[in-house]
Amino acid sequence: MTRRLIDLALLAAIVGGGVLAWRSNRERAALQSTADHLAEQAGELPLTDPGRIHLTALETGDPMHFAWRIYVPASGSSVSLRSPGGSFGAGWSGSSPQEYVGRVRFREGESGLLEFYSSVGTGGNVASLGDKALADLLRGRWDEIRVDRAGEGELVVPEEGETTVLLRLSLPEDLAEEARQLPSWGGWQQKLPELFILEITPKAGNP
Amino acid sequence: MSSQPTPRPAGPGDDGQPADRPRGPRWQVGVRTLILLVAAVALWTSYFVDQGRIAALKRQIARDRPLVRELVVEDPRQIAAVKRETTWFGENRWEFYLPEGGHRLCLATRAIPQAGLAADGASLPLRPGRHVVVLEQIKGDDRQRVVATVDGRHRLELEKPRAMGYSSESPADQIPSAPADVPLVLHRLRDSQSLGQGRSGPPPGPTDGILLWIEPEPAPLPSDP
Repeated sequence: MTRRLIDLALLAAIVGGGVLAWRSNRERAALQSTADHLAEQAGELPLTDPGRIHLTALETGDPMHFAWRIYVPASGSSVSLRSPGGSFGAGWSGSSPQEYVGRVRFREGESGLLEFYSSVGTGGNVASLGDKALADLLRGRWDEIRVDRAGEGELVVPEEGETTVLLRLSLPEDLAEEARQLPSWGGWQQKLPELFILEITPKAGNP
Repeated sequence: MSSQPTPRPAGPGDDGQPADRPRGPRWQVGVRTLILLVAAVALWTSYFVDQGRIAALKRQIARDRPLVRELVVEDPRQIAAVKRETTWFGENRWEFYLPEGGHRLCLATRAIPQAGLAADGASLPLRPGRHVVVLEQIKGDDRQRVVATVDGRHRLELEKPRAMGYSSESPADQIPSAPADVPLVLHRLRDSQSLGQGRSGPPPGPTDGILLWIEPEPAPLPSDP
């Protein structure tokens, strides 16, 4: 009699467990599908040290558009960015860590100048790159530009004070030589073959 | 070949029960019980493992979803909207879902209040379903054109004076679902004015700016066939 009761209790546990296991399996499969889809869009950024900046490059499908998934630890962290528009600092306030998609995007503006939009630090800003002669030279030749981008297929965790080149665009020698011959003014020709650089340097946080 | 329980010789401790009744150890279980036990343990283990994985996936989705900013329609009877990722300075783009019942997109650049809607503006009736609206500000010498383009085709366009500054009070990027009969503000921007004593900012009352919202439409368009 006791064994029969035990068997019946086990049978009930099997039926109940089976229903729950089936339901949770379906829920897990649906969530896994959503998570995989989101990871395709936003990339994956495993945090090895939550007290440090982490980043990885994302694909945008546009050769003039660069994006990174960036993790910034809690308040007090900051980075300094250097770009052709000048150097500037970007700090993050707030009591919790942040994760966002930072971007650098280039396009030809209505004025005929090459413009870039950067949103790697806080906020976003737009500036011109070179002058009209440079924009004319590069029109239709963007694919000739050499691109070095941090975090491509890897996780980057810069040390405090360590400068990481997030994005460097440079001209191949033949194109750089053409650019040097342009009747341009402004300082951009002095940096050739380097055309654009964006660096990130994590700084010590406030206690 | 069958086995019979071996009769046990009678002894001084026997109480008169039949001698051929098997008397194993107290917790001895049969094969059937063992199989049931294994099956039950396997199913419940699978359930608890899944629960742990589900919790981890929910955390991962909660972390990734704000970065992707996709429109999620949880209740097809409600309006759902999301502000898409900005890829250029000043770019504002929303994707939204409209349930059946009739709605219109409204744009105003005058008399924008701190809360609530503007009385005057332009509007465009919309069909139920998913839409994308892009809001652009095109600067002129002393005036500014404000253009809202829906699904790349339909335009709402208004002018406004150029502002000395502005205060953006847009809702959060992830806009919560709203009942179908309640207006949903996508973007509220109020221009700053001189407030005297060298101060400037948006005045307490209505002022120029940009207000973009969705509201019920009295004469709804039919659904797409």
